[in-house]
Amino acid sequence: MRFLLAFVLTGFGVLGATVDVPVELARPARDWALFGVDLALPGFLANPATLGFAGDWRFDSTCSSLFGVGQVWAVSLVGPVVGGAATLLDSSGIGADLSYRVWAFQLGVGIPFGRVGIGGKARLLRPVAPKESWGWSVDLGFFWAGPIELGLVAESLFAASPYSGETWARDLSVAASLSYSFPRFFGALGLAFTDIFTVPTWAVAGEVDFGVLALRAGLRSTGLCVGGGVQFRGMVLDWVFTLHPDLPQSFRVSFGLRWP
Amino acid sequence: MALKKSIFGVIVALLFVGVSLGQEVGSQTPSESFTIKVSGQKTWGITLGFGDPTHLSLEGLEAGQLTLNQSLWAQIEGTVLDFLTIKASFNDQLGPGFQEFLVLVDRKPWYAELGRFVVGDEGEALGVYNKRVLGARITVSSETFSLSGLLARLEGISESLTFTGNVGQVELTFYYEDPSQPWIPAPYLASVEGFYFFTLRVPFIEGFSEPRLAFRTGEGFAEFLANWGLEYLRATAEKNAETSLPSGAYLVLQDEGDVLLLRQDPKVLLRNRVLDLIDLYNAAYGLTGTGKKEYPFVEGSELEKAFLSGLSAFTEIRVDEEAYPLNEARRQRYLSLGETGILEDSVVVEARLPGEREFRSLSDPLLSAYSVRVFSGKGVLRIDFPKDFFRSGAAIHTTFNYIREGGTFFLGLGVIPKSERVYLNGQLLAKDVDYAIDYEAGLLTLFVTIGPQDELRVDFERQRGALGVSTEYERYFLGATLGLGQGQIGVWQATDVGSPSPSSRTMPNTHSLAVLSWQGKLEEWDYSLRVGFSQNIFPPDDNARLPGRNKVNNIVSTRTADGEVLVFAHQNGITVYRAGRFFSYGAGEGLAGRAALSLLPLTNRLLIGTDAGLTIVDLTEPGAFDRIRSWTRLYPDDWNEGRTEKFQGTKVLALTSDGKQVYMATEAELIIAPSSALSKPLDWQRLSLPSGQPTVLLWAQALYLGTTEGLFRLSPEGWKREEVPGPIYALLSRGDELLVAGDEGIRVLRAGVGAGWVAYGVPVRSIALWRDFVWYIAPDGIYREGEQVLAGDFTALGLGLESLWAGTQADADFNLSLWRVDPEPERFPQTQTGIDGRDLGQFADLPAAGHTRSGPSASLSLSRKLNDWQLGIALYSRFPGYEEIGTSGRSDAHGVRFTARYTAVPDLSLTLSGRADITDLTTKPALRLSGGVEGTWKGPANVSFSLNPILSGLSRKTQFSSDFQAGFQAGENPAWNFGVSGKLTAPEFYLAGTMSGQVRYQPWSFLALSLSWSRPYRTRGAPGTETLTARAQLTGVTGYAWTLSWEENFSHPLDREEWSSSRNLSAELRLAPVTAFWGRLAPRATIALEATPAEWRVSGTTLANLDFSTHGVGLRFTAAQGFRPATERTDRAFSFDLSWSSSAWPGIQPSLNYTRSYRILLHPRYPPQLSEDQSLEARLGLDIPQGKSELVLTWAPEQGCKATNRLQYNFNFGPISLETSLTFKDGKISGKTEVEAALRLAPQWGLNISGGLLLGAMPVRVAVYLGATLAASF
Repeated sequence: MRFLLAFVLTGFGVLGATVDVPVELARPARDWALFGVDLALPGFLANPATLGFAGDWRFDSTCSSLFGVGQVWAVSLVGPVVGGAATLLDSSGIGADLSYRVWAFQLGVGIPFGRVGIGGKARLLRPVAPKESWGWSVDLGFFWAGPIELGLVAESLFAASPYSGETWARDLSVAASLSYSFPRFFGALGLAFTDIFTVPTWAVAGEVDFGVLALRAGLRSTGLCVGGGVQFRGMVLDWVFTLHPDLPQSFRVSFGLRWP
Repeated sequence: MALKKSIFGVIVALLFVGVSLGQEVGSQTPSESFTIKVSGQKTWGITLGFGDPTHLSLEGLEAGQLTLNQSLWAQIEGTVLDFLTIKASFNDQLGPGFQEFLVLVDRKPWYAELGRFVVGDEGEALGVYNKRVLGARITVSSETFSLSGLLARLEGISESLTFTGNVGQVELTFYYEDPSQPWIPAPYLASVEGFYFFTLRVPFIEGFSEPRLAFRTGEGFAEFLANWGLEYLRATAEKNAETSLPSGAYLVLQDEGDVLLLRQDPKVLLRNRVLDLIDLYNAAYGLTGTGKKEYPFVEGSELEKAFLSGLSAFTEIRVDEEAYPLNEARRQRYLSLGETGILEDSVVVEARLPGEREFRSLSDPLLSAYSVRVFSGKGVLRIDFPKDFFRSGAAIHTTFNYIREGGTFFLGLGVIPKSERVYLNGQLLAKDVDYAIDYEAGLLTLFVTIGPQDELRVDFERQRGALGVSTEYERYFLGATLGLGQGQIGVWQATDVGSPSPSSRTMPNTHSLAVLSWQGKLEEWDYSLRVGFSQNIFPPDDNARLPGRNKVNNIVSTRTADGEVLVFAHQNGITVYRAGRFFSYGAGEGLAGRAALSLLPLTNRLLIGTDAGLTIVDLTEPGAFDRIRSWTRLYPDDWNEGRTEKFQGTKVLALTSDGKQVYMATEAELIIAPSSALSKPLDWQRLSLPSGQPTVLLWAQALYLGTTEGLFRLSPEGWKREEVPGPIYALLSRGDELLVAGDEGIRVLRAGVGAGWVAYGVPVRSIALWRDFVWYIAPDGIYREGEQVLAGDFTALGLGLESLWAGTQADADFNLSLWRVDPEPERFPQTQTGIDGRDLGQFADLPAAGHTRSGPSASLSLSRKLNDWQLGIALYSRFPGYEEIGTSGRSDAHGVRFTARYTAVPDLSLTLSGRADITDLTTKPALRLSGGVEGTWKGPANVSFSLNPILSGLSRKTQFSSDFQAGFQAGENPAWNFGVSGKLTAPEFYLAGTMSGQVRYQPWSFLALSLSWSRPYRTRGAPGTETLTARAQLTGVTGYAWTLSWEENFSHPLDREEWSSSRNLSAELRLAPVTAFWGRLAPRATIALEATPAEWRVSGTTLANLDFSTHGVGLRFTAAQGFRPATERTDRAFSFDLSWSSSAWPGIQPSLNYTRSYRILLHPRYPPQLSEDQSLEARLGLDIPQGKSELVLTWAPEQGCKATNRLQYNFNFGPISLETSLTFKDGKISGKTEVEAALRLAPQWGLNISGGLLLGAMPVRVAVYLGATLAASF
């Protein structure tokens, strides 16, 4: 437990300064289960180029505890062509001298050109505690909705770190997915390689969707995710259990609205 | 690998679902069938506060800070396509262990579970018991065949706790030294020396006598504080010279007078008192952050010990105007047993004398001068041992039983929700019916009464990684079962995934199990056969990896304010030698890392390179190492703060200095830091390294770096390789020569050119120049220019204190010594240096052979009915290597047993049983024969009896024992019963048991009498106590209800004639309600008397409820008095309650409630102590159109006066409530107004808007907050 606390606290101080961590932690449960592979699935904010292929509007909200030492509060709204999210990462409950509070905002736009989509996303980071500062970055995304869907995101093409002396390295993530459809259900299976230039990570994930009920699983070097979702009366509940190799099990549940 | 297996399994499960659906499509027209029931609520809340931070903090808000929260709970249940069922419940305010999720696929012949479920629930899985998992299980079955597979992650570690009745058992050992670190005294409560105590000169009276810790202030005290740099505390200490001892810090015993025991080490009391005074000082002067004063000493250091010893000379404990100097406290008499309610007969004490290995019973003739006495109510053991017992090596071992209070059992933290199975005498109990459990606190509360002989067993799982449970690996569970007809075979494996890292303390475990079972009928016999085999590689109690061996890395001498000291750097920190003693310091005292790798003494400073950063010790103050402010840690994060070009290394492998600059070699770079700016890493420079891992640095007109690849010299053009191959272990400058120690010997370089060898052909690890000779360490010892001086495994040489010193590597037994090599060789063993020979940061693998348990188990049971008898025979064999998954027990037991039950006659039951067991077959076989006869007969008298003889140890010392019990019960009124139970043992004849009886008689309906008697008997030992209890109860309902009960208890220890008695008398009178024109009156009164030898107490209560037509008045009066003859203490209590409510006015509901109570303590020696309390509450409820208003006024002396008005209006869109409260306390007014509106936006949506105004006066403080919560219910 002391290791866990030290790891998370050290991580907050270091990782909280980067754009990626607050943004990734804010993912709704469905996006979390399909982490990485969602770069090649239509209608996910992770790859803005897929926004042009979103079939409906999605509002998701998530509140999750980070092993009891911090809270993640997040909302996102994604629809055809445009999507955005707001996140608050807060560990002010630990103690007066160990207070971290970071806001993160995203706004993405994706335009479809036939089977190809191109998009861009701006990310804004606003650390509030222990020190106030601003940071931003711009990402570019590409998506091809072919027999195999391909997604590519170039991250932090232009960026300014909120911490002086720090730079955010440019990075690249790619993914491929195969969608399948049967009369009674459909799903997707995919493979991804994220952060190729900095912390290369692979991921495999899949989903089976019966319409009312969906089952998902994902595996990456940081852990195994198992989850699902139910849809009812325009509302959606998604959940995911994450099994980490080094940390205790974590859980995330999201509530969402879908329309039309 | 197992992760991949997991995802493979999950994908198989998903695809299996798909295949099933494919079959569905192909076989028939599917019916659209989705029924999902989802219920729950999602909320989003936002609150913003402005104004006074103190007021806002009471509402959980920060000024100007947006507070966001969300919550979600949901229950999901449904079926999809008629064969897929989902059950889930989530609550994001609880941890992962409380979330439930299960998907069931039931489509013949397939059945699957995906999610969280239990394997081995009540025996449904062969060889596995009660394991909660997260994973997938798939089964395909037909009428005669079934096959299932499982892949899951285990969530917990199986544990089982057994409690025998309400009696707990404890085993304690007290030592003179800490057994794991024999150079350190045992912790205070585990020390054979026991509590510090004072014999009070005046009897201690509870409620009057109040122990206080006091300083004798004055000039001497002021001078003492000034000498220790704490002169600023003088005024605060003098103003707060005395403080009450916390109640948990002491204990008073009646033993040849009253004795005050200190539960805390006096040093801890003093340290805490100084810390409190520093906090008071900081609060008084408003000091915060880096400006506040801190406790200056490293806890446990010699300097702190010296300070506290000096402070104790000015400290005393004061009780009742008597003062007891802290220095005069004594020890070596009272030990803490940690529990109260101890059964004195159960206490067994053994002593190990100094110099001996084994414990001796106190009945040993050698210990005739040793005696003990138990204070069972206080949990204290008094030992009267000779003074020369209390020396190094002494130990005391004790076991005892104690009465556990209440029906609450502590299981420990981290209990996995819903993993528990609770059995009382083998019967499974139901949750929330028979027991409740708090998973977070680990507390189980029984609702059923548990008797002294009842056995409560709780099987549960503890969360992996929870507090107190270490886990270094993920654990996965795989299994398969095959069923064919009457038989079934199961194979399972629970395995830890991952390889151990150098710092992992345990080896990964793999537990495999195979079990076969077969049932059937053979002629008249029903049989059941079960055979199993298990293999457990690195089981949890045998998986500790081998710690590495500690070694000394470096030795330097440095000058401090106290004089010259020698510093040894080793893998567990540093050890400082000064004034003939050794003192160790690690990460807890100020080191940046665990292992100290390099040392560099500078003027007034010592630099210590560690495996996690750099430490600088300021040596300017006396006792520098023992002062917190002397230590500065610089971690890699600190080096890199604000830097664009980051340092990559973390370990400081080598250090040197040229006088102006310090050179540090990490594993990734060379760092150059100005000596004057060591605390300013921004001024540090980075230089890349040549090839190889750095091992040593030396400045000798140039900077030389030794690495594993060779020797390099830093020139303006960069690193230049010198002609000495690596690895380089040491460098030494001798005049204009450079001595280089490596694998080939000691090379001499002069102006960069080879000039011979000091030693050739032998690896040299360390060198030193001492008395004009070159001393060096070779693999077999220390040499002085070719001549061996000392043999051994040495690792470092150093000079200091006019001597040559050497450090070693610990041997295979983890003994590490330090040596003074010259002038006179002298060895300093571990017991003197206090250096742990184990390197606790490095561990090595164990071979699986020798740490694997495996073994078989088999059982065969046969049963049949033979005439009027039901017969059963069972044979079993279980070897110690056999373990099932989910149980924590093992045994080496084999045997046969039979039972025969007579069932022909309804009123007679008779059971004969017998068994022969061989235990420890593989080590020291022992045969045990046991039998039993039990029966009951219901006739004119009910008779029950049992006899259970046991004969054991036939190959060793034969023992016989038999439990027996006989009981008779007859009559209805009078009803009587009599019983005898006991135990007989031989050959050392011992008979013990209890006789008891009871008579109950109710001659008239209003009178019930009973008489109970019990008498223990035993042939030796404490004889016990005989008790006789008489009870009578009179009840009456003629016109009024009354009850009078009396209980008289007599008891006497059987070795004494005089009886003591206690009694309880109580009476209750409930008069019939009186109805008259003015209303209805229902009075009631109770009175009780309780008398024991220690205290008598009388109490009475009168209450009356008076109902007028529309008014109700309640009156209650209570009085009590108690007296304790031993302490002459009298306590009296009075209380008065008046309540009134009315429904006389339509739409108005007034009520009033007033309470007043007094408590008086009286003693001939002390002035009376009076405490009183009162409270008043008045309520006025008003029904208004479309709403309600309620005004509440409360007043109590400690809480002041508070008025609260709550107004609620119901509008079409929802209710709005307005609550205003004003509080007046301690001369200050504060107020709060809160408005809340609950709006119905849509059928499932609601919005709650709230706002509040918080006011405080004197000084005036205002805060405002606004909030909104949106809720979606589904």
